[in-house]
Amino acid sequence: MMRFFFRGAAALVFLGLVGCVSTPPNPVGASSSESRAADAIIDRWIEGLGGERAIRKLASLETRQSFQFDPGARKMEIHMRKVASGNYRFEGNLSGVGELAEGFDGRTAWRENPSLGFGLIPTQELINTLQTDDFLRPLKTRLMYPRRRKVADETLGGRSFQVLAMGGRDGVTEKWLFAADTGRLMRVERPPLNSAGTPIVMEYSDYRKVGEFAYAFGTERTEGANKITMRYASVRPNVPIDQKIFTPPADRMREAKEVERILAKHLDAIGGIEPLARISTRVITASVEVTTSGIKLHTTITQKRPNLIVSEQDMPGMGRSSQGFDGRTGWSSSDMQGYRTLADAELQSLVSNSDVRVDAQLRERCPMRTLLGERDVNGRPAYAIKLASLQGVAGTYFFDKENGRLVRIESVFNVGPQSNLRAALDFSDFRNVEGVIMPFVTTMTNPAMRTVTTLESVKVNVPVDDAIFRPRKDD
Amino acid sequence: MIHRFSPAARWALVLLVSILTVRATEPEKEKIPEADWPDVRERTFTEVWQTVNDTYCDPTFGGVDWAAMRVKYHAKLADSTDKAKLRDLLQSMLNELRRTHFAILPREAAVFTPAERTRIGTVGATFARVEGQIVVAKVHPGSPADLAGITPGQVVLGVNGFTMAQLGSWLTQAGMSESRSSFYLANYVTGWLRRPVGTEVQLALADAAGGAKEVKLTCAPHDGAWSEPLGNFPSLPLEMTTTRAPDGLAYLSFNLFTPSLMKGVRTFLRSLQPGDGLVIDLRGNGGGVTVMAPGISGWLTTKEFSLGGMSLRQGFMSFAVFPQEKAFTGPVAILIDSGSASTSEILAAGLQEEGRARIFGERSAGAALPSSFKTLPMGDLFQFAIADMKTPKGKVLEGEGVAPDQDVQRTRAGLAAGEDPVLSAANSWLDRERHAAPANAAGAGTPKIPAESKPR
Repeated sequence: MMRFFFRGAAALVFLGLVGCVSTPPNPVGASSSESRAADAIIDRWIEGLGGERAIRKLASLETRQSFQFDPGARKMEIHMRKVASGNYRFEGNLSGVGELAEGFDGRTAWRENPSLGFGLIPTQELINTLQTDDFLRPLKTRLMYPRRRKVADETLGGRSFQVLAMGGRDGVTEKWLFAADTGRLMRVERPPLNSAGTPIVMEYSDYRKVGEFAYAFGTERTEGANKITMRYASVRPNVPIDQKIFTPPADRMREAKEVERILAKHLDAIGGIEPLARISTRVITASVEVTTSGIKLHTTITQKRPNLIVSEQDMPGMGRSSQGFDGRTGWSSSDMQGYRTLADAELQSLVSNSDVRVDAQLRERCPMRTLLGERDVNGRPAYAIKLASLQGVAGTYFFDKENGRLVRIESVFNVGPQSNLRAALDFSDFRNVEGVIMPFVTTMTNPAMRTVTTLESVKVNVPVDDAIFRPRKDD
Repeated sequence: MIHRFSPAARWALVLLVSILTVRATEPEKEKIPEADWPDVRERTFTEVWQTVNDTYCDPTFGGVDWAAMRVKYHAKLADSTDKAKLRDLLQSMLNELRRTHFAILPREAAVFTPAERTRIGTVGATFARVEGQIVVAKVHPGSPADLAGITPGQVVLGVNGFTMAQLGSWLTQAGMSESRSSFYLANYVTGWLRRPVGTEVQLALADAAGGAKEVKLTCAPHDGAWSEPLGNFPSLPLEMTTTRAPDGLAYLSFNLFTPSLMKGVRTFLRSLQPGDGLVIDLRGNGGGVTVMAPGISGWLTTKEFSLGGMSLRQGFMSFAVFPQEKAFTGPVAILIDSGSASTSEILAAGLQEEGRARIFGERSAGAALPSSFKTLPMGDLFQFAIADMKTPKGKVLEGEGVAPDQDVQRTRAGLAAGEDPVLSAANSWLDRERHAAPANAAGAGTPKIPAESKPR
């Protein structure tokens, strides 16, 4: 599909800024004359880009561009090199992430960041990127949008546009606006994915001739209040590019394979995916003791697929508190602080814990890894791996060398709004519950405090009424 | 991200206590078998030193060579032949940090069960620093102090045979600056008069005419509710007053931030009507469970904000305030004095900086460090600060306190006459705010201190 792309917009794919979710087909009925009229406009557009012959001869492309996410935010500078076969290398400084390099050598797609580590790019993500960056993409417009129809011309800002309704293979019909005078594509509107969504609008400007090609040097993507601006600083078609730059570093590839092996062993150590997949509900009761202050409380955590959770605490002398997510609202209620809804990192933290399969999702959730070597954890050798997503570092995870179990996490944990705590979680007393191997004791250690959480019971697939996950304003 | 940090553990972490404790009582001697004492003493010393070493929020210990302190005080450990001497030694070592919320509290003086409530008796009087002296601020009707003829405004000259000058010098020796130590004297006197029920205490007083007298009092049980213990944080006697005058002037006072009082506070705040004005009297309130400050604030606001935050050695926790439905949005006046400490200061400073309350009275104690309590091998309780506290604007409360928006001093004569100029000023301001027109402050009169209602 059109994918609301910036050419060479892999960075946006990484950041989740580009996404197309299929919606039910909404065919654009088109008579043959309407279709022919549409194709004539597309032909004129392709001709303006340099023409089919030149596009087919495009062997390589080197671009430098900047992205601006908010008017006041720091610009993201990107250097992209790619060849017609699809191999590419991207280097950029992403906000909040830092220097990121990414490449595809025809076999392996990879990315690397000094703080997040090294990771292999999932196949689906690679396919999306390759589609977006396909040199022949303009020539494939008819293939990707089988239902095309010319509709009434429009005037925007005093300028006249020819308009096409483009019915894509994903069932979504986009509106493409071409400048009547130049034939250039100036604007694409994609309807909201649902009634609560907002349309996505791409605007192309500042077309410049580069050799025999024409590129829009300015692009704006608007979705509701969010606007991203991209500007090319330079575009160099058909420059010689050394194929070696697409190849991942050999040492990092070896490390990635070793990490994959460790994570696969961990998956086996928890019993594999199957036992977790059989769990629809889980109710855990546990005691929590803050050993440094003598405080004890009792907690019950109830989970239900796909992502419902409620955690209830009862502390002598302190009263009750509970937190939950009912699929729509994350909430917290306590005798001391009353009721509130959860947002941001707090909500993310709760929801991350809601899925009973979370233990089996390390690989998916943390695609960036750094093998730190072997460490001693409570007298046993363990592999230390720094795990991260593109949003940040999850922490250092320690896996028992012999049995593959996750025995420690060292991380900075969210403990409330604008609150975080650097701590180590140690897992012990592993037991089998319906095929799932889980730690019954978790010890949290921070210089200021230490808590020990001991599971008292774990029940799976018991009936759980959805009502218990709903916000408890009156508690 | 993968988190795995259970909400329950997260909830347990916020249960820090910010309360200014004073060890001034001489508890009953509890014997530890002589043969065991050297080992218990050593382990206790190590526990205290190590706890500070591991948890103190500033890894540089504010410039104090903490490792050297171990050597210095360990050299004197053999001289600690009993628990009292060991307490003094440990307290001296902790005083090197020159921070509040580091205290060794005799287990014998702490209350954890209803049966232990006779461990703390009271004379039924509270004290405050007025006109540079420690004076009787309030006398509870029917209490030993009341029956002995003690009245507000009388000056305290000494306690149990020690003069105020001696008590003050001990505070100075304990590392308190001279200017700050005077602020703590009222707390110190209160502490010295908390003894096991039935214990006789002596109080030297001077009346308005300057005549001195010595009074013997027998500590009586607290005749009200007690807080529930929270882990190693013991039970304490509770006092709470809630009144709402027909004209809409509401008054809330409590002596301790504790979950046991939260329901009563919440119910009272929810009962206030649009157009009311609220006084929260934190004078003499030494603090308590820190999270209660944002909890109360949530009933006084329609928007989310922070009362500030605490920096741990490895972490930061914000005292976020979450607005509650039907929160009271009328004007709020907070009363403070030098006895207002810890959580009282966090609440007052946070609401002041947010512009949600106007502060009346005298500068607060400047003792606001979130702390934790642990039990030592010798059986005593060890209170240790684990974080530094800053207001939303980054102001440090420890050693500084909260400066009132309107400085109002009490006088001995006023106390003797049953007047409360601080409350009067607050009420005048509330009247003006409520009616959005200048009021004649003098015409508002000097209200009497509201009668006390004890939570049961």
